[in-house]
Amino acid sequence: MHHNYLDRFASLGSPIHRLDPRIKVISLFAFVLTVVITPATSFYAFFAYFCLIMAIVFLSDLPLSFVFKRSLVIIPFSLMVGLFNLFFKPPIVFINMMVKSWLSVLAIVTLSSTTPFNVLLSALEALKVPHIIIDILSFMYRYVFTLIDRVMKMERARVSRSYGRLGLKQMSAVGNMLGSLFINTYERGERIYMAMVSRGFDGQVLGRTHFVLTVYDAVFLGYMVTALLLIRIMVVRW
Amino acid sequence: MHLPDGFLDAKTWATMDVASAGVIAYAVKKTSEKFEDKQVPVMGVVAAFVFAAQMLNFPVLGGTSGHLVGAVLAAVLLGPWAATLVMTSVFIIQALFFQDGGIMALGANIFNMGIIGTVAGYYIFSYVRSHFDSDKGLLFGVFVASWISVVLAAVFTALELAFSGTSPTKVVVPAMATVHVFIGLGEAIITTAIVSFILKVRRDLVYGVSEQTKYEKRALPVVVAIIVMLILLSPFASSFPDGLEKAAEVHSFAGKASIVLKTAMADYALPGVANASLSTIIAGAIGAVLVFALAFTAGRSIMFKRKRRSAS
Repeated sequence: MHHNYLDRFASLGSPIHRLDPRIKVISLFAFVLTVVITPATSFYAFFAYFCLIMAIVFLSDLPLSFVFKRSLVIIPFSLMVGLFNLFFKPPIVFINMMVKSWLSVLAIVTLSSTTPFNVLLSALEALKVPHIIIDILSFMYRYVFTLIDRVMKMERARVSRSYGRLGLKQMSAVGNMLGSLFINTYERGERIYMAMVSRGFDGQVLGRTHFVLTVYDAVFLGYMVTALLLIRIMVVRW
Repeated sequence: MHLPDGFLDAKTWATMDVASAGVIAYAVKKTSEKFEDKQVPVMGVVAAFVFAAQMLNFPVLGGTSGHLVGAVLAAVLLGPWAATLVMTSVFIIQALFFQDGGIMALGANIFNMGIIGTVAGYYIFSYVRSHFDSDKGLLFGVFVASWISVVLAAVFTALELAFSGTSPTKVVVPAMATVHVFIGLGEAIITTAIVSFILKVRRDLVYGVSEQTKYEKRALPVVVAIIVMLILLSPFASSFPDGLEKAAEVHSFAGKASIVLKTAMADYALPGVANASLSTIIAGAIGAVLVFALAFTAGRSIMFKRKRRSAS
């Protein structure tokens, strides 16, 4: 089945791809944080943030259509909540929500499509995310696509047997379906564990990437922080 | 229900991030204390399972659809703390790779849809379970816990939006709660069906099913306190100074069209009670009780119907 592969463009070789992933994660946080705490009425600032993230997207060789398409995923949801609010709150609240959520998503898409998943995990671990969570994430990533495939196939089989109906009776069929998938999955987890133990696994997952900061990374971080501070201070006042 | 960045203001998302980080740190400690290193691969695969199960949509009343959240399911199968880590991982992946929920709002999302289900949901489940000896009682506990967890998640989300000044309290809290009373039924029915299947095939996979003493009886006061606190909080959320609205007035953005609707929907209140916030609280409480009674009877009748059918 067709998947939205998570890191389809992650192996390109652009300047952004070559950055230390820790720097990228920190920059993402700085960017989103600054965007979120910018006052709602400073439209120039939002435009400047947009230019900043677009500059990075251009540097990264990612196809623009891909970035926009991925970032538009959140629009229906934002629009729903936003339009609902439009009835009760002044329009500025609505504009504020849409602009901020979209800018943040642009930044997230840029990070996640310029960094291979395992590298990103190593970066998160280097940034002190508890390593049990990192281990769970890496196992999850390894099995999530086959599981989605199986769920979709089971669902297709169920739909074709029940003519697409989903009433109470079918709900219990869905329950059995997911229940059997769970048992299957759990037993697979146990088998994986036994296979790992027989190869010498003792609870430590090894082989994470180690990173070395270069001058280039420091320059990029400096550029990001300066740009964000400048926009935040100058443009907001103006 | 995943909140993107920009929907919550700084005080709200920062509070939720700190709260979630605290619970996650505790969960990390708890899971590594009684550590079976076996749990890591299993937890990873279960996280992938929860993620995949969330792809299935089921219809709710009137053409809308919902999907499984799976927090209570994870808690009933792995215990509250391992489940907390599993749900945290699911939300991290969703935020980073599927644009589902924001980065600063991650704590809020983990709290609303993860921790409420895995921790509060688990203790509700344990409480109900401790009053029954049968599997039927266990399933009933699963049903109640998953229903309440979805409704609570919606109320928390709504309160966070209200505290942020993004949505008006008097509208968003009742609206979200009402919609999720029905979406919660879907979650409850499917979760119960899944657990009942697992009970039949591999009982041992249900957390603590063999050790009766593990189930908590002390949880009820905690749960009741949470609910009372929520009901009491809701009128306050609207009286917080609203920065956005002020900014809008200064820049004369204030929408004129919205005023008409505002007056039409403003009063979620009982007639005859003078104090506005008091009557909102009472109305909210009565609504909650009614809805719970409805869900309770619906759940019971579904369970007994299934029992009868399988007996005949």
